[in-house]
Amino acid sequence: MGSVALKNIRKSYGAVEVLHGIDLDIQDGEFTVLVGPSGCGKSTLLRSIAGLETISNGDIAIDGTVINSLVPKDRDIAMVFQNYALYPHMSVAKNMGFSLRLAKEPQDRIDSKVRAAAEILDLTALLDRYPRQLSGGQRQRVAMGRAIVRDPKVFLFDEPLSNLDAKLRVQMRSEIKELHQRLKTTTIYVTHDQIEAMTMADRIVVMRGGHVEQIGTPLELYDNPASVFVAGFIGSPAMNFLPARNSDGSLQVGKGENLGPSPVSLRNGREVIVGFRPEDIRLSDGGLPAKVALIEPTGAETQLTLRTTEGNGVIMTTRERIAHSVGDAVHVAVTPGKLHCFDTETELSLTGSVQ
Amino acid sequence: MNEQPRTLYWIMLSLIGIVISIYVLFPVFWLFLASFKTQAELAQLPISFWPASPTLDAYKALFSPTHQKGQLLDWPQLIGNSFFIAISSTVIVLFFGTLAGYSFARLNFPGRDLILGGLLISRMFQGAALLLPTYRLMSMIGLQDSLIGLVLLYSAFGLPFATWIIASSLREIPKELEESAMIDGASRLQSMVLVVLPLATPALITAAMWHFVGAWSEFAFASILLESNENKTVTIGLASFVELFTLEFQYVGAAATIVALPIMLVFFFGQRYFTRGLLAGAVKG
Repeated sequence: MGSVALKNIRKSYGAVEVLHGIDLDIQDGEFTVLVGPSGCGKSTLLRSIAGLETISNGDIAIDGTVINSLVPKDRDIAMVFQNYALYPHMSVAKNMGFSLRLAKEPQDRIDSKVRAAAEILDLTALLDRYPRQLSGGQRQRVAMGRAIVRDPKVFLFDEPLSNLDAKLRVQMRSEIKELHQRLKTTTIYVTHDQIEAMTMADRIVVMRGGHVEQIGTPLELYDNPASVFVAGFIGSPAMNFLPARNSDGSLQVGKGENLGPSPVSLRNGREVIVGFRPEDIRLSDGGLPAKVALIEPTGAETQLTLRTTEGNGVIMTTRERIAHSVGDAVHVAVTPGKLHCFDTETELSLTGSVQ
Repeated sequence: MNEQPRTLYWIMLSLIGIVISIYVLFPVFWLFLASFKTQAELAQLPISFWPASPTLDAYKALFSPTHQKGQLLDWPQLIGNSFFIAISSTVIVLFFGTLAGYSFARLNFPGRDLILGGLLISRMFQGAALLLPTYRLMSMIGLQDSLIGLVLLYSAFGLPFATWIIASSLREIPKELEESAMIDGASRLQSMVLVVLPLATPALITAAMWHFVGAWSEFAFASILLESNENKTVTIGLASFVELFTLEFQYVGAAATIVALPIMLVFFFGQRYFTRGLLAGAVKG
């Protein structure tokens, strides 16, 4: 069992506040991903939960018990670091059993726990090796093994895949996810990679500048982003944004080209930021005029970079083969119901509100 | 660069290295050879380079009780004293240097960098300037002519540099290793002893070697502080040889060879770590 509750977490370095009151409830067994650009405070938040940073204000509770003043080893958590932090002078088995040795468990218990974890992670053949003799992916697995043997209430991952190459990253992503489905241990996972967040998380916490920007399931964030920031951060290629204005319930861009009906009722003439995803537009006979600037086929789908008359870039992806070439004049239309609307000032979503 | 100039380049470099080595090592080698010669051979002209009939007489004489009757100093005792001083002060320096180095490398406290810089500056004073004040101080606290006094003095002299070497090497050890150890259940002390120090072995060995060699060969402070014969060290022994037996150069050679032996052994076994320790952090491993 391991639920985590964060209440009004603040953290300052001197006069600089880096976490501005974070509230977060994580259910037992949930896989939560903290995602955001570098400097958003996600790692600091994770390290605060681990007890490696002291918080300036607020409460951290695991299973309802406030653990603010406990040292890391008493918090019943395990952490996997970005650089794995394997002990270079210890074999894989010693690395994995280190916590149990410190806890003075009998040697046969240590051996059996290490063997069990090694089996789960396919490390049995490597138990006598030293970290320097392992590949990046194997080191990563040893780091996870070290966490598993402790059987903690919460796993903490701090950008564990950033040091791996792209292919291995995808593979380890699945392994971590499978591991979680098997062990069902509450997991908090920090990454700056939104694809990792989307593919792994039960729930994503998007952070920005020490604030929580939005919390939700991957598809909730994708379909209903609360702000321009989340809309642009989640999804690749990113959502397209254009300045628009409401004209009798329709959103118009440029010289009055109609994109479609506004998803929210707006005051006539109101200026907004309109957003639509690359896969939600298609080439059509009418609609927004643009010029093809770049064609990037990937096989399964093709990505087009278009330029509107005003010079704004619009990305479009399609699974159909494109007959056009660079420089062609085309028109694009947005799939009905796929427009997002954001306030020009606050950049917050207007969907669901009446302005 | 093509093959030929490169070979030439290496030959030139090696030649320069050989010439410098000969220049530096020749006097040492000359003294070493002298220890196997007889007094008569040393006095004759023209000077012979290799010993005509190598003999260990000088070495035997150094350790023979009969010879010592006419001699002021007891060499086994000198060697014992020097070992006592060098080893004890090395242990002290290593112990406190490690604790201090760790706190400089890991803990945040006001004035940390200033103090660390101050440690280095303290080593810039010429030892000679401290001779008299030190003598006064040691007599005031009754530690002149005492091996313990010298141990404490050498430890004080050796600590700053040892601290500095150890601190800079500990800084190179990723902080996450310790954080990981602490999450795994280690106390700060455990994480230092079980994780950090094993990884800092090169620096610890370097600091120990550096200090041992310095303490073993120190002369100035030993010569003004140690008065009674049973307290003297090998370096004083060497010096008094020169005064007493100016013409019996073979004894000086033999004694100098014996005195050099521990240092050579230390370097022989520690060399691998020594360069690593001094270069720690200079390049990315």
